[in-house]
Amino acid sequence: MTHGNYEKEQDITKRSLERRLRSLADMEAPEKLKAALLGAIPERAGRPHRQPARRGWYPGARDFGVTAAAAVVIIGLMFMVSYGLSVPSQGQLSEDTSLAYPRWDQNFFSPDQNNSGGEKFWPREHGWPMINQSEMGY
Amino acid sequence: MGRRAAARPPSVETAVRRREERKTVRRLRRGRRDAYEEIICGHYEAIYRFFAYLTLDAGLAEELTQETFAAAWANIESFRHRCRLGTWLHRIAYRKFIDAQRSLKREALLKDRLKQHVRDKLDSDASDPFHRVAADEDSRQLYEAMLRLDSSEYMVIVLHYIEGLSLRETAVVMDEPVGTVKWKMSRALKRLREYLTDRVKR
Repeated sequence: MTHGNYEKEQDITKRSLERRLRSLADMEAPEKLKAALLGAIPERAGRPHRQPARRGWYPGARDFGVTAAAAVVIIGLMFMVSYGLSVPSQGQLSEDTSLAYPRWDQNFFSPDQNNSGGEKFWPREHGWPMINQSEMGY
Repeated sequence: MGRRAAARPPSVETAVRRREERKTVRRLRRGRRDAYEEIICGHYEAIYRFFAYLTLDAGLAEELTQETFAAAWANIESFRHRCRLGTWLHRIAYRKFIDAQRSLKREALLKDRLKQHVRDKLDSDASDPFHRVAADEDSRQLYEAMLRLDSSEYMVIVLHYIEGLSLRETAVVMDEPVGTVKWKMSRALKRLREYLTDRVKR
């Protein structure tokens, strides 16, 4: 490598390279392009353009609306928590089983429900036993 | 969109520029012709130059520039001032270029075309946008070195150094994280220096 080349190589620093790259920006655009662009301005230009109604709002109006809606939801939830909902609870269902199960039919009594192990089964020929209703919870 | 950089308070100059830009866009949305003209005059050269470096074809660059501004007018309602108007226009231009590249499958063609363009035609055609680049030997060497970069590295170099966008704005245009853009930038610069050094040695 000659001394001159060595100097040239040293010259290509990052800064000088950046300066040379920026010099490439020196390029002129044709005037006819500018004329074409100006000629292609949309028709609506020059006429009063009515903006959409939403654009005319105060910029904070939308945020205000969202905040207000959120506040209403929160207050509604607090109200429901405070005064309760009319949703039937599990306890209420278990208290009244009369609707959940068929009522006791005195005309139907199976040996299993007797819980007597078969030994005290009332023979059929003696007729059906008299059920003590107080034992059945009535 | 690229990732947001750390929030820094804008300088007075930036704040004033942003306010002016907001006013211009508001007038544009109202359909004021002077706002259209202001935006065209302020940005058409940069968009054309961007396309000229990407497509390497003056005619195609003009065509895509017109398409970019047409798309901007059609979508101006979606501009939310999250970036500069110039960055937004470059973003549209970048997408236009990607679409054009996909539809025409130009990438390989462009590379060959450019090499021919730079070596043969530019120095003879004064009306060509690359004439001034080709006229200067240093610029010509640099440009030829740029052509040896990957397309994404080339894009980063064009957006940052030639179009003058910041790294964050470059990331917004390319829809990549800022860190990736920085990495591509440093790699591109390193490769450019290597190419240019090799050229000097030869």
